[in-house]
Amino acid sequence: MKAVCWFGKNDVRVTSVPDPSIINPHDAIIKVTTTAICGSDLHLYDGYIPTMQKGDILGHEFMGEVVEVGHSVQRLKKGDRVVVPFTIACGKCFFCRRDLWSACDNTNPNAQTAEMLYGFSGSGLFGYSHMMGGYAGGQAEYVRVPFADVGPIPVPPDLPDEKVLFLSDIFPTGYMAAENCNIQPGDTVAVWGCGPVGQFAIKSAYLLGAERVIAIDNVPERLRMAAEEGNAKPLNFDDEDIFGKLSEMTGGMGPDACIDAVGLEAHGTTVDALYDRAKTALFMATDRSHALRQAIRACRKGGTISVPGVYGGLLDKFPFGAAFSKGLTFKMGQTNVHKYLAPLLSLVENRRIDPSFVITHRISLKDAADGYETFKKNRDECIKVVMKPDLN
Amino acid sequence: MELRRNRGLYARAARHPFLTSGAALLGAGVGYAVYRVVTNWSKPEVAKEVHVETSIAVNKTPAELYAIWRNFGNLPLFMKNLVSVTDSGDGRSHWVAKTINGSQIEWDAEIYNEKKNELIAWRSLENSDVVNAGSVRFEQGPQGRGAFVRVTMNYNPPVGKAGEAVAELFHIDGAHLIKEDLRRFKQFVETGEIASITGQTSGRAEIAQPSTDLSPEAAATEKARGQRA
Ligand SMILES: NC(=O)c1ccc[n+]([C@@H]2O[C@H](COP(=O)([O-])OP(=O)(O)OC[C@H]3O[C@@H](n4cnc5c(N)ncnc54)[C@H](O)[C@@H]3O)[C@@H](O)[C@H]2O)c1
Ligand SMILES: [Zn+2]
Ligand SMILES: [Zn+2]
Repeated sequence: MKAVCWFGKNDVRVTSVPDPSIINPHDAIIKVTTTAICGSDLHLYDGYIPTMQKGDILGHEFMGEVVEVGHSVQRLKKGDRVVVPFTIACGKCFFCRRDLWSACDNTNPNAQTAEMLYGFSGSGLFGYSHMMGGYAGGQAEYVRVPFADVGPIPVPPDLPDEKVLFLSDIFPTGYMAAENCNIQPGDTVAVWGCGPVGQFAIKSAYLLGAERVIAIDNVPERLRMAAEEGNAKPLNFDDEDIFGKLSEMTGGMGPDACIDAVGLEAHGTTVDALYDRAKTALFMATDRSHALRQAIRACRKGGTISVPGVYGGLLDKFPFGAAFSKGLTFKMGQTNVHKYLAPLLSLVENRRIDPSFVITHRISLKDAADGYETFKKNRDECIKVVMKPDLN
Repeated sequence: MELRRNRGLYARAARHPFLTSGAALLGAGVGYAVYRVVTNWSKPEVAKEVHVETSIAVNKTPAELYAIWRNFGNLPLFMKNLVSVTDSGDGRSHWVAKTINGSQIEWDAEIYNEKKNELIAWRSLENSDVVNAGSVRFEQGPQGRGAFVRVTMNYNPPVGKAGEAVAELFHIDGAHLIKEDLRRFKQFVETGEIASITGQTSGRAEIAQPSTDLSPEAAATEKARGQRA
């Protein structure tokens, strides 16, 4: 089959690889009908995530048709059309039973590596480094899905792929980011980053009752989407003093909750951002946290910082004093996708949201290398790329 | 997890009030112990006694876990280096483990302390090449935490040829391997399979042919059927 493989920094190739096969009794094989490139994939593409190996198959946002099931699979059948969560969870452990699916104890075959770095290991992830399990991803014609009875959710035939695909990651991710804000009536939520995750965080914040959402980025078309699709107030950080503006818009209080939907590759031209660039270039720190710092400073006293953006290692010059003296609450982590599948699917079925609004590019899987470049460089007003293996 | 190395006489471990908890533990442990001795070759008169403790929470009751563990034939399902354990029915058992180069070590063991649903403790019989002792305890955890499985083991380096063969091949922390065996035990018991990517597809040319490797789970099932790879 054809699959998108990682060969190094800025180097992904569509290659012929063997078809996947059932390895464990709860596995299924899915024929992928639609898959997408995520902002998280850019962290791999940019070489920020350790323990990748040349030849690893990428991709964690995908859906398709079940073509084979292992002998212990009971719920899922051949022919089912399913969306697959990017986190792999067993459904049986302490964490799964508490809806903390991305903390599943039993799905990372390389848990000891993550433990060395983080103390404990989270769940396995598709296509996201060997530290996270080393599972082959879904930017491919076929993919092996472990614990097939636990993760994949069957979707109704009348909903096209583009409306349900993002249940695999970015819709639940944006939704959990907003849920983590504990939104109360009258709340203002500020969202850093208007990529796909930010876009879903904006919509979700309104769905969860926010009075007003403010969107921060410096890419004009992304800010435009946040305003037009998301009904957010856009702020361009190239033109505005973000702290001053947020303060002014909230009567001097600061936003009630701040969402960092940027993650470890935040851009910026302020002193701290340049300092981060220099330090990460010299490997003295690993993550650039400019957006997070700004969010911590801007947030109101007793407010919440919600972090869906991915961080992998060490932060430098983290304003913990500000966080402490204002009594902030921090919520973060890989999304507990399984928890959100059914409720968010019903929002789509009830037409409360049409997740396909973020898609700007539809390409064939064989053009994936181009897709990565276009997405990374915001070329051609790119916001979200979906790929189809059967497109020519 | 704790790893302690004491100086002690070789004979002491044979009578030590801990019993080995499994051959994989043991295979690894022995290798490690011997490795330590070899790397401390300047003091050949002192045998190293190794003491390891580790624990893991498993989402089952102590009684369920005890029952699985007490059926020694199950141990190779999750203990990587264990080839077989045969229960002779009189509290004695025969253990076969493989070393990293694929050669095998064997010994006999006896249960010398046991409390139903709580504790199994055993030790190698006298005159074994492999001197070891260990225990496994199953304790009820706080509400919703399942049971805590605690493994303690002590082992002493084997003497003679077997010991040297093992020593060459293990350069790994024995405690680490024990922890990994316990992790597989937890996965196996909680989910019915052991997480694996062995043999999966990738764009690496060297595995461009479908792999013939078995996953740990598949390998375990094969073992359970009594087929040796
Ligand atoms: N928690 C999870 O489970 C999860 C799931 C999916 C994605 N993510 C992460 O969410 C983040 C966003 O994902 P995405 O797909 O939207 O990525 P993306 O790269 O498309 O979006 C990031 C956006 O942040 C903007 N940005 C950069 N620096 C900024 C700054 N200083 N202030 C404000 N905006 C800034 C960029 O211009 C871009 O529009 C990534 O870190 C991704 O890895 C996390
Ligand atoms: Zn993603
Ligand atoms: Zn789990």
